[in-house]
Amino acid sequence: MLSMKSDKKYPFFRLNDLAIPLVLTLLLLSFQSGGEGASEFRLEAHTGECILQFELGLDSTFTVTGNLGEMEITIENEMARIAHSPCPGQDCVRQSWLRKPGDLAVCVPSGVFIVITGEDDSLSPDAVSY
Amino acid sequence: MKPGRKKFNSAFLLILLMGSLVAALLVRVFLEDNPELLEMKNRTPVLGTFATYIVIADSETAGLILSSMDSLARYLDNELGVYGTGELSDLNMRGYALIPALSSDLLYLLENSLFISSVTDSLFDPAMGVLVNTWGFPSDPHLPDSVDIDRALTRSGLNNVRISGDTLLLSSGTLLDFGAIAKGYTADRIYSLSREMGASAALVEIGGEIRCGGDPETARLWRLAVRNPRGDNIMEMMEIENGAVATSGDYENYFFAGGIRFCHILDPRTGYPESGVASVTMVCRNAAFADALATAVSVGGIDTAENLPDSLFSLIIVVTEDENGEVTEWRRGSI
Repeated sequence: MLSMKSDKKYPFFRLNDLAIPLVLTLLLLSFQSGGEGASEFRLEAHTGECILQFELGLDSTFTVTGNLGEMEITIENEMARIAHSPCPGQDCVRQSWLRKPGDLAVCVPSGVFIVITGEDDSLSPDAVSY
Repeated sequence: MKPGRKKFNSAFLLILLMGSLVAALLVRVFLEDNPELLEMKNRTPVLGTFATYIVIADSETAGLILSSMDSLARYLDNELGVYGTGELSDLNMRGYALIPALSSDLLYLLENSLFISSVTDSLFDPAMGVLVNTWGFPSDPHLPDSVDIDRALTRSGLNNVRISGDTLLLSSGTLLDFGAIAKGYTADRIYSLSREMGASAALVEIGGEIRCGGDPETARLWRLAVRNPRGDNIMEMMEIENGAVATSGDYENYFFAGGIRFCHILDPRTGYPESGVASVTMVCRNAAFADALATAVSVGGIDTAENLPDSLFSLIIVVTEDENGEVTEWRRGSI
């Protein structure tokens, strides 16, 4: 018959026994709170219809539709810019390349802006006043 | 190992364990109390520009709130438009209206336009519809004949708006145009609606005019960028928990004639576009005031900004440009 008798040398509950589970729990919690959102830089294009996201690491050219018609946006060497716009001023096209999170280009007449977001999402604005 | 040291380690470990358990319990309770708190975003065309709505609410109502915000924007777009089938268009066509019959929206715009006009030496003026049309903004901007500008000026300005008894009267041909305050006001109204419907926090941006806020416990700090009027990216990045930001600039809608830039912000004193001010950013409690004051300061420049009552704003940023293209930034206040 199995005996539950203890000689008090190894108590049923020792605080030190909790060390490993505790560390594992803390690790799990830290992954849950900080694991999300870690990603490469990307380009967000805020158009009239939607918000489009593109990997900044992939060279590409795409079109979005704004107030005045189609605009062309280019991603090249992990940088992005508005390549063509139907707006009269062309200020947005003359802007330099966007490189880092927080950089943005706005085409006011088209109502479109592009912004780079990335690992540090706190750098990208919730909204732009223009 | 010394017994005293072992006792200390055990006590420390116990405290650490209890602390972790309490923290985990609190996280669990928070998640259960806010089972599906979502941050949802929508961007849509409205008021001749684009609007962005961000709402933090539970999953059951977030979609409904966003949809209701969009519906209200479209309703106000129609009601407050100079043309169309709305209330303001009707008032402009008839030239009069019974004040008790006016909607609360139009009444608010009238009352607060008069107030802002009074604190800006009449540089903010909502009765400039004829002058705006003469310049062809926004769809067909062009340099009009000076005779046409003078003629338009006689039919523009609040001196052409009178109150007789309970009737609001417009002089013949005068058009009310709330374009310099309506976007901000609409942002305020939509923001208020979202909060009344249960949003814990919300942000509304319409054509660059922003209203944002939320419950203190939600602690959503809104990160707002201000466009550099002459640069190629952000001039200012600010974090606001509750408030409004509006920017008015000469880059929004303009044309060149004879090498001179003519923007859409018209000076009610001369009938011509303002010059010398590249942009004005106002941080205020509400977007209607921020919007209207940004326009008035664009016309009056730093002199007007210096004389605004402190109670109306938190921060003013004025970017000026001289004849040689040199850009200067001027500030008053802080966030």
